[in-house]
Amino acid sequence: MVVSQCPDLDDLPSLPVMERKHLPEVRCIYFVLSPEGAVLYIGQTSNLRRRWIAHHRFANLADCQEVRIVWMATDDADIASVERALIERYHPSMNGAYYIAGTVVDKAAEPTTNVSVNIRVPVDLRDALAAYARRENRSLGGTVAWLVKRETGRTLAQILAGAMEPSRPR
Amino acid sequence: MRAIVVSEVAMPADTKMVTTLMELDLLARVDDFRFEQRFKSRAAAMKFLMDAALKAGLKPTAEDHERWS
Repeated sequence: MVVSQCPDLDDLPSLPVMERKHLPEVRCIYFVLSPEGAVLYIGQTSNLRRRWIAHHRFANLADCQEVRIVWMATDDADIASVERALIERYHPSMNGAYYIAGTVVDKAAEPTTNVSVNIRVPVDLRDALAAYARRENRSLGGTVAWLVKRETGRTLAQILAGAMEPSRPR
Repeated sequence: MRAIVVSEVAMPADTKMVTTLMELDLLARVDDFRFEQRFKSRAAAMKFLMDAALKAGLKPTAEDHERWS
């Protein structure tokens, strides 16, 4: 798909966000429309219904009856390029905003703004992290951020394939 | 430089606190990962990621070391 073939959103199927449990389980690009018809957000998903059952980015929209979800089913292998092209075309106001636990932290924040994060970890994991940091001659905090950054750059399948017996805390 | 403080609260006795500075972009990616994979908290997602990284034996490249210094 090329940008010049932007879909007419009025011709696409849609549902109010309140009825998101009835969304189809399709691979698609989806649009979030305000009651006035403005495009608030554009995203992609391999399963629209599953994506919206717990869409953390829109915790604040979930109770707004007049917001609509419009979707465009696609088999395009390069769905990410299609999404990017549509974002460039529509400039949705909520794409690019940063959400922490479902809340916009700072719409104008730079991606490189530093955030201090404190987490409690099991002693054995903390010891393993400390040993790793010592081996690499780095701080514990810097090591944690680097490891998380490396892992979020991989898909879950790659993570599971690379990790022996990953213990998944749920 | 602006800083936003975000804390996870979990209090089992056999745990220790780890503090790190992360870029907002990375924290947003962690949250995406957390919700997509249905982890109960950001801390749980981060523990999974750290654990997996250690078990995979990830090694920093020379470029990584340069960025750290």
